[in-house]
Amino acid sequence: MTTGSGLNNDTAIHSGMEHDNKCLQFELDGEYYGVDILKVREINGMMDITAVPQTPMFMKGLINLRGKVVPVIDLRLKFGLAESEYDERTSIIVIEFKSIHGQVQMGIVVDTVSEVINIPFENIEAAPNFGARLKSEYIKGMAKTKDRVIIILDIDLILTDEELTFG
Amino acid sequence: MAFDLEKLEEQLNAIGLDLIMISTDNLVEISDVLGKIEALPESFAPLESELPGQVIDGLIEGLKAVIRGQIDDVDQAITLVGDGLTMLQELARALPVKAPFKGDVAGWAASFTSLITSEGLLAEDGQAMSSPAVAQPSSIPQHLDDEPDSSEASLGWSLSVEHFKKEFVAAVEELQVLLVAIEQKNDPLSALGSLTSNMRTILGATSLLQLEDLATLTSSSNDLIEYVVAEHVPYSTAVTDILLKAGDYVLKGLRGLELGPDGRSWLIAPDSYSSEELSGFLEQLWMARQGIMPVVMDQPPSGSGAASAPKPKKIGEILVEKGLISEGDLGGLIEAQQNARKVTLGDILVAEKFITQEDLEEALEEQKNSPGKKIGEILVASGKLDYEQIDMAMKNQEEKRETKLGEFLVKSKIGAPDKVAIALREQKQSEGGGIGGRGGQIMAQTVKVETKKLDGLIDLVGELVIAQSLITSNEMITSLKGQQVNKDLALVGRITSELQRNAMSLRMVQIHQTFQKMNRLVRDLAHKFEKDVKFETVGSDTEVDRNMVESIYDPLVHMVRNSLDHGVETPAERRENGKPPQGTVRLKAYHQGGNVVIELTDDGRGLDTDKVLKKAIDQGLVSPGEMLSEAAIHALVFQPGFSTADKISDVSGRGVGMDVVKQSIEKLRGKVDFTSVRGQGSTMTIRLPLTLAIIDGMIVRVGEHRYILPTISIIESFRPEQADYFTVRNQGEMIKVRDRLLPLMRLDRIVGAHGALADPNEALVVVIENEGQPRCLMVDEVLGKQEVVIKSLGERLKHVRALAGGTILGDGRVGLILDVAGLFEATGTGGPVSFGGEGDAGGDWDMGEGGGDSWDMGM
Repeated sequence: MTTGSGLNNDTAIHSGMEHDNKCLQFELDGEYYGVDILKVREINGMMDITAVPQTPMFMKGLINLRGKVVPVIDLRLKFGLAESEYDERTSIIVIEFKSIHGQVQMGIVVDTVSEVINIPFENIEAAPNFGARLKSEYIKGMAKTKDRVIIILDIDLILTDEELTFG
Repeated sequence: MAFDLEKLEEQLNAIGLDLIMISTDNLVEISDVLGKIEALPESFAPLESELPGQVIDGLIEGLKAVIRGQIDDVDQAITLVGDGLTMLQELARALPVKAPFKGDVAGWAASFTSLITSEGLLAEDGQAMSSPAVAQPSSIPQHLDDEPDSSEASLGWSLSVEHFKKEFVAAVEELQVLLVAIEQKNDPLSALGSLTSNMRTILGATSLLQLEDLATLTSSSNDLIEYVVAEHVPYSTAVTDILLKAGDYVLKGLRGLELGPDGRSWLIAPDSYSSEELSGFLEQLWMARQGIMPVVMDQPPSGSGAASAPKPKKIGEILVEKGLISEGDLGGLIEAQQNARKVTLGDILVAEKFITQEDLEEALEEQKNSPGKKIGEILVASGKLDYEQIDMAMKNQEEKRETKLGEFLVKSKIGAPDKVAIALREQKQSEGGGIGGRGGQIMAQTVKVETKKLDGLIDLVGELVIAQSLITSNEMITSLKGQQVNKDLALVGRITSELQRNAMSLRMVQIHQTFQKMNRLVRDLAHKFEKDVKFETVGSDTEVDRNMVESIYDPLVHMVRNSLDHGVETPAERRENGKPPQGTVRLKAYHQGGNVVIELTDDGRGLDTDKVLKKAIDQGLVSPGEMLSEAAIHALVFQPGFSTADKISDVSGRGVGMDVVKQSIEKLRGKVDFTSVRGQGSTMTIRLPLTLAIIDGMIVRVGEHRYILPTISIIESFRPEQADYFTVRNQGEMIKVRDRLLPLMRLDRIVGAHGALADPNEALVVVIENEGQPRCLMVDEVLGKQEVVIKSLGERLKHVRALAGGTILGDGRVGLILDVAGLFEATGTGGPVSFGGEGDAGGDWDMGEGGGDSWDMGM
């Protein structure tokens, strides 16, 4: 499930990535992020979101995913980035992962989804400490490609975070 | 395993409810409670404390003593059991948070024990348990010359033997009735499986009383049921037959139950049934369970089954039919075969000339003197025979016993081997055809489906309905205007709604079984209260949500008990009042406007409104001098702690009454109503939603948000006048609703909506109620009424207090269903004295009335 917090050693970086290092790459406030493609269930454009009272700002609300009610969080707000208007490029990535409550689906709102990339194992480095804005536990590693650096997220950990249980 | 307080509390509450409704001389119910208590240690295990274990042990010992009849003051014992349960509840709450526990477990256990020892029985108890007389109660009494040690004790015991007999004979008979009823069901297997809990109760009691034969019989029967259910053995009447027979044996044993010569143990009279008969039958049961044997597969079906599958013919019949042998020959042969089966070892030994006839008679004489010894053993001991000879003779005997009619025919040269073979083949064919035909028939009737798959299907159908309405309301499509398009769309619409109706019906089951259980309850209670009651059920084929059936059982039991205890009068009293001596209690179910309605009517004495009012004033529920309407007085019976019983019987009047019924029904989003005409009878009406998956809701708008408010909790809605609006110390807001001041909650503040109307005179006020308390909820407007399918919001959001769940609205968006109880909480305390945002005390709000007449003015 989650890889825990000891992410500065090599084994943690490899976990979940040694067999398949295909990542879905997306943009958030001018930076590039990646999530393990195996966790991605589907990608949608912006949908109608019903706001839920008594929840923090980043919890955007609920969408109807073919009959299933799925919560959606705004990753910008979750990471403490500036809020931005949703446009036609804004996407909801539906992540599916296992939790103690079984298979869980959750949507994340990102600025735009760019592509699926193949990252060779040796190009991944341990995450440096970003300070307060983004907990380093959330990051599995940094991947270097030709022209940019991609932050690979431990999406399970982000979505199973205590903060996300409301009420 | 993690500690699950919620589940544990549920368990404890269930036991508590049972305890309230227990009748102390009904051993079936007591052992039921015992069974539930025995399941508790598992739930307490994660707490790793010894205290709960001690209490549970005490409870188990105490209840066992009650069942064994070692306690005279059973009521006191039940009270102590209740105390024990309360301690467990406290422990369950205190231990996980390491709070101090003040209960006195040791003191409690001591008073329980003293209750048992005071009868002077506990001391001997341990001894009695290990004494051989008790260990083998069903065997022939061994201490015939033992004097009963205390005549008083044995009198008490013989009384409880009679009780036990009566209870269990009834329980077993009931099981047999159910068995027969099950045969007529569409899905006999699952119905059969539901019997196992009844079986376990009987099993528990028989093994507790150490009636070993009966326990073995019951457990074997239970195993058979479990086998048949687990392996999906095609259901055949043979299963019922063998189970019924097992029941007969148990009944025989129970009827023969008597007090042992030692005055304490219970024995089955030796002549009740022969033990060979029993062991033979047990073997049959065992084989049936292994699935090897005749009982399940080969026995001819009887009754309706016979029409489709001809009864397999006997070989003899076939031979006579074919003219191979004459009928006379057949008779002689069968006799010969039967004689051969009866042949004894002694006869063979004589025939083989191993011993003489005199030797045999001598040995038989000796056997009479020392029963249990086998004839062979005696002969060997006297040196007249050796083991080899006996072996040979026994094989011979076995052969003779197993000789089939066909072989006899051939041996006696009446039938030629080839003719017999033809007949045998024909016999096999007629058997095979029968079984195949029957199996196919059952497969066509029912298919077992996992409920999860079913729920998935129902969900998808719901989506289809929404998708269909999206298409039909799409402007591009409506602008097409082609006649054919409209026709086709209408067709799709029709099919979709038909499909939805069908899918919904998959969740429904008939209420029949619940009603049947009530039948039994009425019979028992009528007997107990010495009343003559006719029980009628109407509409037992009414369908309700399968999840609801279980939840309405307890409230119904409570209502029926109440009706028999307080409602129906004794025959003498009825005659005095010019009524027929036999009272009538009618249970009726029907569908009405999207609800399931269950009515319990009796023609008893009705509610004595004066008495109720007086009691209510005594108990401080109503202030003296207050004028209450008839309906308001009737509603008082639902007040917590209210009881009209003058004296506390063990069934009613224990202080927990109709409010429990009301609560459990409200949990199912239902309503209870009570009407009564003094001297003529009362009617209690339960109104339940058709299904738990769908909720009838009002869509309300506040700002740009829409929410769904469960219709069941809405009393009325209106736009208040300026004069109706009050503020209390500039904090709490109140609205006057027909001379009553109700606190005002602003939905926009609770949910944080923007742009909502601020002035109550422009907005709309919806009066909602929770647990009998009405309040006003301010919204911008009511958009309409809609049935919505409830969807879970998932683990993350399930703790958001104001929300009960989500749903998909007609436009495909997610809609949120408001939780009325949560709304009350979110705006401050829901208690009777304080209200409003800051919990400011509002003395003007008259609670006594508020709890009274509000719920029966529902929509």
